[in-house]
Amino acid sequence: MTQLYPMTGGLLLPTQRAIGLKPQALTEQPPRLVFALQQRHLRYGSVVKLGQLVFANQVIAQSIGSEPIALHTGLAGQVTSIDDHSIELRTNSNMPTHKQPIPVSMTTLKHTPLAKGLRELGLLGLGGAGFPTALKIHRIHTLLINGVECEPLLVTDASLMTYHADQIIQGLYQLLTHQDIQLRRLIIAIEADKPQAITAMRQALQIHTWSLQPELIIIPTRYPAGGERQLYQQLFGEKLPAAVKMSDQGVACLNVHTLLAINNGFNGQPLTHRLVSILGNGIAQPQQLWLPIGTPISWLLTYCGALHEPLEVRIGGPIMGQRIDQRNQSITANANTLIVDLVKPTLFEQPCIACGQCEPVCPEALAPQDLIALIQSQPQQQDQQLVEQNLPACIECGVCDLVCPSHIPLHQYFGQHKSRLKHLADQQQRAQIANATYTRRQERLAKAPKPNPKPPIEASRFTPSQPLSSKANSTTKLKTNLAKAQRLYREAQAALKQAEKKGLEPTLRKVYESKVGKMHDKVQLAQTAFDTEKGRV
Amino acid sequence: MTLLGLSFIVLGLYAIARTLMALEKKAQALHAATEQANSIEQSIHQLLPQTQCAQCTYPGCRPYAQAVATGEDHNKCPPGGDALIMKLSELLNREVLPLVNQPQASDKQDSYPLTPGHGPTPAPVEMIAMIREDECIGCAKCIPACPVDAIVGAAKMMHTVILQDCTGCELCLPPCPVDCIDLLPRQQFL
Amino acid sequence: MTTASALRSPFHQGQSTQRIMLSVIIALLPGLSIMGFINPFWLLQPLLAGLGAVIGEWFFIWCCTRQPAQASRTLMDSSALLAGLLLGLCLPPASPWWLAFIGGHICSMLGKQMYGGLGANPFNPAMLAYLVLLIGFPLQMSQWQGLYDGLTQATLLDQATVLSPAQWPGTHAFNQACLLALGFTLGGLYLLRLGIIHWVTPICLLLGFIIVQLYIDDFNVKASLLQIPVGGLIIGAFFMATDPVSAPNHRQDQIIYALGIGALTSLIRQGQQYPDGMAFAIVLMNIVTPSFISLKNALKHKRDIL
Repeated sequence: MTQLYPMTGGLLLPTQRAIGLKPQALTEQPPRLVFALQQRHLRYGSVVKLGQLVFANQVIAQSIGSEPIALHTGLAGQVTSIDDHSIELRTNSNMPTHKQPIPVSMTTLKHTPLAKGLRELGLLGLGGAGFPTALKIHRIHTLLINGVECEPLLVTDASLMTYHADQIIQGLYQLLTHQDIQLRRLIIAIEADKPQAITAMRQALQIHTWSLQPELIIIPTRYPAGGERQLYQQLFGEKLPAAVKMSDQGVACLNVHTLLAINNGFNGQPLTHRLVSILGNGIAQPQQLWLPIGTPISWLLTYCGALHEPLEVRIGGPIMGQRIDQRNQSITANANTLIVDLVKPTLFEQPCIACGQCEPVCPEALAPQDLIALIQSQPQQQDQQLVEQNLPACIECGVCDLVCPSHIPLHQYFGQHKSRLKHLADQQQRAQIANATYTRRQERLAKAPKPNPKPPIEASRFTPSQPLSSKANSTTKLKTNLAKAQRLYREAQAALKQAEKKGLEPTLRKVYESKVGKMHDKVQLAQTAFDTEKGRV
Repeated sequence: MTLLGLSFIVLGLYAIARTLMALEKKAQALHAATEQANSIEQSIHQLLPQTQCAQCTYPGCRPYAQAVATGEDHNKCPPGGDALIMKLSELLNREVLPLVNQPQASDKQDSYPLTPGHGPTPAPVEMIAMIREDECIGCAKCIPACPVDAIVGAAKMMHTVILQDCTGCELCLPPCPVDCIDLLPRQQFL
Repeated sequence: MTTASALRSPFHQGQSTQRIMLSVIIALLPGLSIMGFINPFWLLQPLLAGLGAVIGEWFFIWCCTRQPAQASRTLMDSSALLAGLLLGLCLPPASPWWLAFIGGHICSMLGKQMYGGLGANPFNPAMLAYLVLLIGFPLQMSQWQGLYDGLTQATLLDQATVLSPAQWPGTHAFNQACLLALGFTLGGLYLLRLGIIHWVTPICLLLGFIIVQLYIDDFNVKASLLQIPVGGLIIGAFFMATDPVSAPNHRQDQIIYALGIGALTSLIRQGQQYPDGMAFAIVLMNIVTPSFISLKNALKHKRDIL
């Protein structure tokens, strides 16, 4: 029996999970898919053109960066709009599915990296944060499988474990056999309030013979026991400081849904669909659906029979989820639950009375009342004090909100300031690097030998055979300049036309257009100079 | 009443002792954090954005820091923007000035504490330079212009900008004879 | 996109500020009912002060915003009413009606709203108002007619020059004082049970009081214990010193705070110039509170800094 250490803070909450939900497939296809290109951890750039026909499982975007992660479409169709934020696709069920060839690294034990295969399959964490899986599994010696799902109301992972445990464990087994994964310890963590899931996973584990025996550990029901840093504390007894990531310690935490997607990946299927639970009192009845990523929320609400009254839609759980505008949003890889509720009246935020209820429940041992006092009073050196009070360690779990008698949306404030502080810290780091390179460059230049000054040209060597007429010289030169400017202008226009044919993003188009404008200005200047010179002569 | 007086004295001493302890700890932390923070110039230099762009009319961030320490106006750094002006005003106990050469906003805007009577300057967008490699002729004139050595290349060889190192100072744009360097928002690429 | 906030969360645990204030008012009921049982006339001061506090707060907000709706909304958290009731408990029952009424106004306006409203006041509003009344209207504040005996007499503490503490037990006044102390202690235990106050403050307050009192009484335990039910000590321990806004934020500082209040109360009582040292003690410790830098922050080497 593995010893579990206690978690700092946290609350025992009524979980109120819906029972009897089974994953189901959609009975009709959504008419269009909208792929969000700007996500929390990634930004994608389109690789398809406007009007292009795409097959199912085809790559439509790659993330921006040195090691791009692919984005696949789950349904076939035609691209109807592309911009910086989204790609829209009109689906066509008559088009055939294009089978994606299995990346070599996933099927064989050859010397090919697992991370490359995961990137090509477009695998992101499906637990709710959407972190690219390929970046997590680098040189790990302990793997945690997170089946805890501690937030109240959430049932997606529980259903997956109950009905698809075999696929999850199969994914885990295949992952273990890959030569890039050398583990010392393998732990599967499930929360205590999911007995069916626990049984199903145990049975699935017994099918395989394991080289490294996985430990199935039951985590006591508490919110937020399922956070990966909280799991780390409960399993290993150590509280990681804010700056230390789990991957630095060689530990990775994968969600069970991600494992299922990895299993699909071993069979050649990229990440295109995910299981979403649709809950709340704003729809006819709760359901669980396998949805293609990119399903518009507005269509989904109609499909589920949403009521016509004003609705509030939230992606994620009731505490950590985000309220969204349902007209424009679509299902992304991190949308594990959709909560559709009737709009309730607002409660006003009241001032903090320093009651101190928030401190004992924080799982990261922060002092929310001190932090909110710093944020609201904005003293001198606010940023430094916020960092001293360890605001970057906040995991935005929302437990402090739940106990605040003044209904202050604490974790909303903390989230805003956390990202601001991170941005400032990144800027400072870059400034330091720039300063270092600048200083090195100055030192290098100071040490470099100065070149000898060129000897002055002797005038006698260059006596021309006949003196050139100065007037003709200048006119000729200006004429040449004008011709060159006109040529460059023509070339810039041609480049713009060609680029337009290929289908351009607006920013690059602006670049080409500005080039054309600049060349045009140069032509004007050269023309004016030539004309004045000619007129003078 | 002597007991009362005694208690006042004891309380007062205790309060002073605790305050001193806290102040001492704070001073130690500040001292440890800023390595050689015994000169104003060093403190100013650490606040500057290190773009080395010379828009402040000084050939780099350190000369500007030196100048500000000896009385130069502290509102000349566009990449630092209003945030930098606020921090410098706090550090040097000087009046908050609007950023130089910014267009004056109309009076209709809300009074913004930074620039009373003027609108706030929008936060500077971080830019990076990118070379359009199709058009680069390999003349190597941009390489010595870059203050942080972010351009890689040689004569008649392809040039490219190391995006992570580029500070967006725009000093490489003028030397290019074919105008093949563009300034684009950093957020799009990094 | 906006993040979910507890503004509408069905998983919100604990009570709202309004419920907390109302629970404290309910906790006052046993003591108030004993007071009313002994002499209903005594309830007049708390009610007048409460009324004055509510009107004072409404008036202040209305003056600042000129919006009656917003003024009424500020009253919803019942903190003004509570502060007024607590002030009224300290006032002499025979004082004129306007004293409690004005006291309530001072409590709301000077003690709380002037600093920025709920959560922003450094001093306990009831105690601040009590001190202002004491210094401003000393004659009216000494009219303790009919508090314990129905005769024009000073309190037990004033009588200490005439009647030594050893002679207190058995007197009518002392019995009444013990009953009242019992009533308010019950209220305090109710608050402890609800989790609205923490046991550290009342225990440390009484501890600080006992220790200094023992020293003064040459370790005569009985004489020291006799000092506890009289004056505002029990009310102060459970209701005044536990005010979350004016007390320090962190547990380790609250210990020092409560010990200090207890010790100062005992010392100031020996001065024999003021009927009770509780108000001075609390306000003095409020003055000292901002200098408490939490021990948790001082142990910075244990904190991780990004």
